[in-house]
Amino acid sequence: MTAGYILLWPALAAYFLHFYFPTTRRGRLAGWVGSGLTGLTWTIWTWVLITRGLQAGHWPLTNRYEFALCLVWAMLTIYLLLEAGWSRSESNPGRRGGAFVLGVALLVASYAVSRPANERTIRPLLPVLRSVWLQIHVVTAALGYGAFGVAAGLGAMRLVARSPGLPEGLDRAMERSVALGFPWLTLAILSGAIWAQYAWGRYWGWDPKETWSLVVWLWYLMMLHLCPLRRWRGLRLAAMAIIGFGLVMFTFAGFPWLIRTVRLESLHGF
Amino acid sequence: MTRLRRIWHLSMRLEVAAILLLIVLLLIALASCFPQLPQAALADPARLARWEAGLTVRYGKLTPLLKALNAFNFFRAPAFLLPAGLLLLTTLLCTLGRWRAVWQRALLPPIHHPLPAARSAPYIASLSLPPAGLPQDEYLSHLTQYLQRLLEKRGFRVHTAVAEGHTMFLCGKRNRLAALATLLTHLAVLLLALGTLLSAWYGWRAEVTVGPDETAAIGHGSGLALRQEGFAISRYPDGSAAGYEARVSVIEDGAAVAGGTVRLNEPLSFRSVAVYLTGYAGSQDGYRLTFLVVHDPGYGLVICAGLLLLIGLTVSLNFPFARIQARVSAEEILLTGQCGRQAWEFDREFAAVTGEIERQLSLWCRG
Repeated sequence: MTAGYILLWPALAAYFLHFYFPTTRRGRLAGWVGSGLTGLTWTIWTWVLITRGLQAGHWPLTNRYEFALCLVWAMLTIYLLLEAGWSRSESNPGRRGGAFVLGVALLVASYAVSRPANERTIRPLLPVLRSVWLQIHVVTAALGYGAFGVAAGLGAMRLVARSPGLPEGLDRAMERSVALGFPWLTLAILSGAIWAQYAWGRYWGWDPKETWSLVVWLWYLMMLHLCPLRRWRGLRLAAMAIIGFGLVMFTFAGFPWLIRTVRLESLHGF
Repeated sequence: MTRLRRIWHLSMRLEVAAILLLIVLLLIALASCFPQLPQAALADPARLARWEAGLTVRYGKLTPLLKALNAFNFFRAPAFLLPAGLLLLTTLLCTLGRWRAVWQRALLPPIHHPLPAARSAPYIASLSLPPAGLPQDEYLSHLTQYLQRLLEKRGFRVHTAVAEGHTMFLCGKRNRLAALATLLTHLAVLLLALGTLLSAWYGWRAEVTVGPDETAAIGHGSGLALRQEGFAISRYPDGSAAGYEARVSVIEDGAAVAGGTVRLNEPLSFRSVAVYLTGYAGSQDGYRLTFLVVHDPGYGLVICAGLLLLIGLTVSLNFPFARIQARVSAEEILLTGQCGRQAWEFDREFAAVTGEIERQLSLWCRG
């Protein structure tokens, strides 16, 4: 895990070098190095998740630390797939996007490694988590959030991108990431509702966690409604993608703070 | 009449939907900062009194004001229901307003004739044909068959190829039903709301506490009672709980009509009610168990609507409509392309199709 986290830093540095010098020979080489290191990080991350799951005897999806690991894995997977699919056209972010997407992934990874030791310790599965819906609910949420993380990274790039043609390509790439993540988030909420019906006898209870997942869903739904409108594209769309991921992180990481601060009760562990 | 029409058109504007979504999400986020009245407390005055006393301790003098603002029962208050209802209304109006156009685009046969919209199509290419050694009709038919194969290979469904004199027309569509997905999504949102209303109006929940070998009535006019037959806790090697199992019987008119084991995540279902294990307390005689009995007629509809919503969103966002039309005459092939907004790489695909045709034409020319 530590190796995977450490590798993210040089990958980020290489991507940034490529972002600032995309056409020079060294800049292009840095782009390749960035992609290679990200691929290696992805492999290590996958290996860590698999071994942790095998050690625990259950999927590594049972607390905030494990979810953060899955979220980083999802972001890396989606970004690498998009990077491989992007054409070499000037309007596509290509490897230049890595500098920003990896920056967002690194934030989440830093959150993961800063979790207290008791959360990182493998523990037996709580009785209420012994359900097939755990895997469906958490994996789909990680994929949805991961795609939104990629969109936020591209949004950050959109704020600073100046190359001709690139802004339009970034708008498309951002929208594509959100369009990819939104059905996954919908499935996460739907599977959560089915699981809640099996576990607690109600599919929706306005639990703070449920409420905030709905806030995130409504935010991206609003964004998808505004995407077709020309005047809402560009910097506004980028800002919405960044705010959206801020809401995602609040729903995930800021949730305990909300519960503590306003003394709410929640049935959700993380 | 004019005002009605204006409202109708306004309801179909994307900005209006976006504003309403923003209002609803802001209200929801605000309400999440206050504890919300639990549903179980509504039917239990003693519990309600305890809950309200807790609020007074926490919020002190602000409690009456917050109560007046419905901060603790926000999701049943007009301040939330009004904008949420308005959002549903605009969804309904938008669905009604768009269904005819969407239906026609998705299901009616394509218009092939002189490609009326050719000059305004977003993607257009004109390829000059080299002279051929074949009779003209045979040459055109040969070209059309080639185009048909080319488009079919790329997943297009080539609907028809009709001839008008010495001109052939061809229309390939991919994901032609994708346009309907938006309607499905909107319909699903309305069904979701209907299911929620069914749950709220016709559903009920009852908490039943039963000691060992005791029977307790469920109530709510169900005529059913629960009998506890046993309880066990399974444990991990480190001693922590791995699962809870309660054996229960459902009694009707003094006779057991159903029975089984209730576990966490595995309720016992009987007719339209489901029995959940929610708590246990040790006593001298054994365990006193608390069950939640739920009758929720809206659940099935909500889940079906959720699935429809998921299908609609997946199709409309990730399987976009694309169409390539061709007019093949003795002198040229005129290609036009149109696609849904989410067809991210269609420009590349259209260029690739055009390039492939050009290569093939030059091969034939040399041959």
